[in-house]
Amino acid sequence: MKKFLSTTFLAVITVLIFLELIIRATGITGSALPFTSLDGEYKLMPGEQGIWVKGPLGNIRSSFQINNQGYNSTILDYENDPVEFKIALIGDSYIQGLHVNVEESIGRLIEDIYTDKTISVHEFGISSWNAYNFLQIAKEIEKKYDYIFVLVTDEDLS
Amino acid sequence: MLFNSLDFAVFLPIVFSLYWFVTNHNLRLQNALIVAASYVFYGWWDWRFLSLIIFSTLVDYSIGRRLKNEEKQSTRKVLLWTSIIVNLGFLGFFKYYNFFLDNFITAFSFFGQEIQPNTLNIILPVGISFYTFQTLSYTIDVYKKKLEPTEDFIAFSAFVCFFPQLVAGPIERATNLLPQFYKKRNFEYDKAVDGMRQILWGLFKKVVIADNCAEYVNLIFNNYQDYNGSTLLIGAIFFTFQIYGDFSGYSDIAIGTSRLFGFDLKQNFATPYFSRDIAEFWRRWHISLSTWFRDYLYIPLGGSRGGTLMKVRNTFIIFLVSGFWHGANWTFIVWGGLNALYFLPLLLLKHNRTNLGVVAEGRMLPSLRELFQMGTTFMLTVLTWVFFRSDSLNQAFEIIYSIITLKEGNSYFLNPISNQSISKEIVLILFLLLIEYASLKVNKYNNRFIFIQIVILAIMVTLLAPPASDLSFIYFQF
Repeated sequence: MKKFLSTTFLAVITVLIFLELIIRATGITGSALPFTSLDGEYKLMPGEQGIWVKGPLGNIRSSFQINNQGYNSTILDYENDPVEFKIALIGDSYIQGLHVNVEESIGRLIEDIYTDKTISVHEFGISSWNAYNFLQIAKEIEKKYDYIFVLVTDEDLS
Repeated sequence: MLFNSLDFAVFLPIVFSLYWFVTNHNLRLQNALIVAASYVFYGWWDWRFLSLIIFSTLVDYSIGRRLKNEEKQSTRKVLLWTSIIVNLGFLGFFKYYNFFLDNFITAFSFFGQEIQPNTLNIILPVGISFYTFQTLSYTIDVYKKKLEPTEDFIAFSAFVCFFPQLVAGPIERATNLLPQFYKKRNFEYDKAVDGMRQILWGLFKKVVIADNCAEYVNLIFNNYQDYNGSTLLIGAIFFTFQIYGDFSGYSDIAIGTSRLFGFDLKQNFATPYFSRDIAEFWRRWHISLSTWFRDYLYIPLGGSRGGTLMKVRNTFIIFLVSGFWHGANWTFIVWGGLNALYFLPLLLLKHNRTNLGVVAEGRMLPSLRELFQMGTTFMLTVLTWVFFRSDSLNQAFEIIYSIITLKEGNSYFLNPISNQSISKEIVLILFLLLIEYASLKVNKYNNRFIFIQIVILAIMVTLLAPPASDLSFIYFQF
């Protein structure tokens, strides 16, 4: 029995070491992406950054950065954004944009249209959010934005 | 509780520790621990259905004891039939009630009689087909005086509900498993380490092979009308490996877990996809069920003795009942019937026992003839698995028709939008076949490198499991 327990213990340790080495060497798995509850909503943990990995052999790799409001964005604090004109994008995984580098998200692409940098796009997206979540977020940010118009679509982007 | 769950990863070490460190000096206590652990294991899913197992245990234990003291043949027969009716009654009610009712309604409506359906919302107790057959084997063997009825209720309860094989087999015979509960078990290092290896190999088959194939199988079978013939064929082949990985994986984990506790269960699968004809396939696939039907149904019916008509009748009965055992759906019955049709020519031409050994016996590689035989047998089984996987006969026939006529439609794998590659799954399947073929060629298992094997298997299971794996085993529904 003693031999069995020591062999099992040794096997577990060996497996853990090898897994650690394989994962670090090949990068087939990404950084942990912890979720939290902010303002009563299911969001990402502020301040986290790393590499998101997806695909059978980790072939989709993209950087992410979670801001103070719990969204994946290069704008670290939506509430202290100095740019005058702001666009809010509310949606699920498409807006969350983990499938592309955070610097290449849809918000940044829209901002790039305006070369004089007169607008800022705030992305409010969490994967798997539904219409109820969209409405909740819309109500929440209503207090902080002066709306010019609201665009509602039936696609991922709402 | 599922073998491939975190719950089981906690449950197993606890029971193992209590078994070998706390109760190891008292056999009855050790058996009682197995009963308690097995009830927890089963009750984790739904504790209410424990009452069925306990009732079945009480009935068969009492009948066994009565049979011991009863010499009058007519009374013995009544006792036997009581056990059969009680056990098959539960099975019939929980598994087949709605099936028969639906078919009666359909039959009446065929003759213009509309009757109001009154189906019940019945939950099928997990593993009922397995433990029912196991307890039945006890009573039948006692009735036939092949087995001395037990006086030890705890040992008998442990035999009925032994958790490694309670919900999906192997279906153990009382003659093999019950006596193991009477003897003191001693911990054997080699046996336990080999058990660990078998558990990991089972997990590899389930988590890596079956679950990876399942992703494509579910997608293709759920949207079969959209796909072309080649995609449907790939779906059917993947299901052939999914069902094998899923079920034989479960059996391996069950056998390996039992070895950790000092028990030896019977082999349930013996590399079935290397079979050269359908008769060999059925000697290698779900062995515990095939031999159960052979011993308790086929042979009592007369087996292959008697005239041609009797042979045909018995073959169809055994395969159709086997299909019906799997589920209350016409798809399973056709699956059984198709296997009977495959088997029958071999039986009638007396070729059913031609391939009793292993493929390429005495050689490293199979001959061209053997390769052709294996390929043909494999494709015939792929065809039957389409019925097994389909929700209705209509779906199964449509899939087979689409495959045969090379129906045009969407190709899931050559679609630039879905961008799906099955290279990983193909490599994994080839790896499985390679290991299985090697096991055919090596007569005795070499334990020299077992530590390395365990480590490699554990790493593969961890790294190659699909991210959103469906935990459940297919055979739980039977």
